[in-house]
Amino acid sequence: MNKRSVFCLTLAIFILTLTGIIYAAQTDESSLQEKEGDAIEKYNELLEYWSYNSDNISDFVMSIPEYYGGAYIDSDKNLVIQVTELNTEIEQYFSGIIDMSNVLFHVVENSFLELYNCKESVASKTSDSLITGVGIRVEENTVAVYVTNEISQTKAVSNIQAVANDLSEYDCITYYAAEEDMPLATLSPGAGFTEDGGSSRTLGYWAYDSSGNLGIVTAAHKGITAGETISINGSVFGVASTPRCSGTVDAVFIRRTNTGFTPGRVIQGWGISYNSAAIIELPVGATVRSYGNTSGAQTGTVLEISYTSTTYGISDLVRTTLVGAGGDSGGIVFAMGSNGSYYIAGIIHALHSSGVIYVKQSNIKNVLGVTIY
Amino acid sequence: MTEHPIINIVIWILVWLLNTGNQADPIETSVYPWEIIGESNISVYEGNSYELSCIEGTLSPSEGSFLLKNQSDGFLNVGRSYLIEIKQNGQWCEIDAEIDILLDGFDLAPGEECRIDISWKGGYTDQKRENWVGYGELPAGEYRILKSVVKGTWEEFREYVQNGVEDQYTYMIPCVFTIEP
Repeated sequence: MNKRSVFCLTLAIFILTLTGIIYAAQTDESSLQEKEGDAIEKYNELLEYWSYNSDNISDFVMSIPEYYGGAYIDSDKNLVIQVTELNTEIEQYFSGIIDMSNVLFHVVENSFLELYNCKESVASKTSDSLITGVGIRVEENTVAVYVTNEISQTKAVSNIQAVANDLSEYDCITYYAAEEDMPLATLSPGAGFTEDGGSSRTLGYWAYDSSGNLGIVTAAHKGITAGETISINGSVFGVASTPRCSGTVDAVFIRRTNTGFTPGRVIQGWGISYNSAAIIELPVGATVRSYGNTSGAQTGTVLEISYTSTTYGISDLVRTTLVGAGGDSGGIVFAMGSNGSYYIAGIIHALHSSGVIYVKQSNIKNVLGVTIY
Repeated sequence: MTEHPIINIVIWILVWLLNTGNQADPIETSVYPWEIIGESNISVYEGNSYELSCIEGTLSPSEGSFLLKNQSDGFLNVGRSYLIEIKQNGQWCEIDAEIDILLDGFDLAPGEECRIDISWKGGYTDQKRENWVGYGELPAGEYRILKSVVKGTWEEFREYVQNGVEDQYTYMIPCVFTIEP
């Protein structure tokens, strides 16, 4: 063979090998996907078998064996069924319901019923302001209690100790310092909501009140009253503190009571986070940004400071060229600082002719006594 | 001005006479806390699906309450936007006033009605008392309020705004009222 033939042969072998590797990888991937699909199907078959109503299967409302400890899909896409004891009778019970290929058993200490009852009982105590959430970590066979870590790591440890003392009667709990993206729905600045009176608003930002309770800040206007329950997307979010709609502030702090809502700093429509360590005061001519749930992300310029809206009796406002529309009230107003970070300047109050007027964050902080999350 | 005193006096007399002639207009613009821009070119809703009426006994020169009825089979998104126009020489005219409007809103279900309280007086917005926002206390005359509403829910309104088509779904519902002398 001449050199050219050797080169061509080598190239052909190389291409064939590469194609083979890619094909094998794709086959592995598709095989894993298929395996996972099978595992999910088997899991649903189990739930359906145990459910009281096969048209409405659920992870929780069902009649399960007392030795069942939960199930999950492992990294190899096997369905792992946890049981508090394992014997031939139990294996036969499961094989009577599902095909046992790619199904593994794992013996654990706590049954799913124990975990569920424990979780429900702890959840009823979540008025304890240190607890931010409760869930079942099936793989770890434990009830996870998330404890606030908002102040410092040291404080988090003592918070956990305090909660653990309160819940000492339960022996299947593991305590975790709460993380930002912990349980259900993260609520970002810019999210829209409708208060019970039917008035639509935008969430400004998350904050702590003077007692350290987590909640949200939005425009008060005259519609929200102290103690009013506020729902977001059909779920109860929390309770309104005393609203302020006079002096220099039109704002209200709504304390979160439903820990299913978790805080976020990423501003909708902008995809950027604000720096909560400071606030920003803007001079006339400064570029300002906002997010109202109706108008979306807007950029404008500060036109006037120390503006008084006599119509609504609020002073020391800032007038801008930001575009606004009904439903934007309470939306976040922010701007870039000299270090390239973004800081909260205030929340949307009203529209003056064609430009948004906002309430200054410094006034909100002073009057409501809130600290930005 | 010329340096000749007699010609100056004649000019001043002419200017005075001209001003006196303007005051012959029965509706003199200078008595209002704002200027009248001119004939209204706002497209006003004329259908039967939405109706705005003044609630008896609520009207004063600085505020009034109105009843908005949604007689359509769809939702209506209601914010706080409105305009006031004045009737002058049989024509509706626009008023040059700036107003502040809170940016909340609500959905009015089909067949439902709601009360809308509007305080249009406003006031000075600065410590120097140079800038007035609002319509002030309306002098006696015939006016109409144009309440801005959007056909659809808040969710739909959001989509309209973000697609820049909200004007196509926005109606100005009129209600005529009179401020008595």
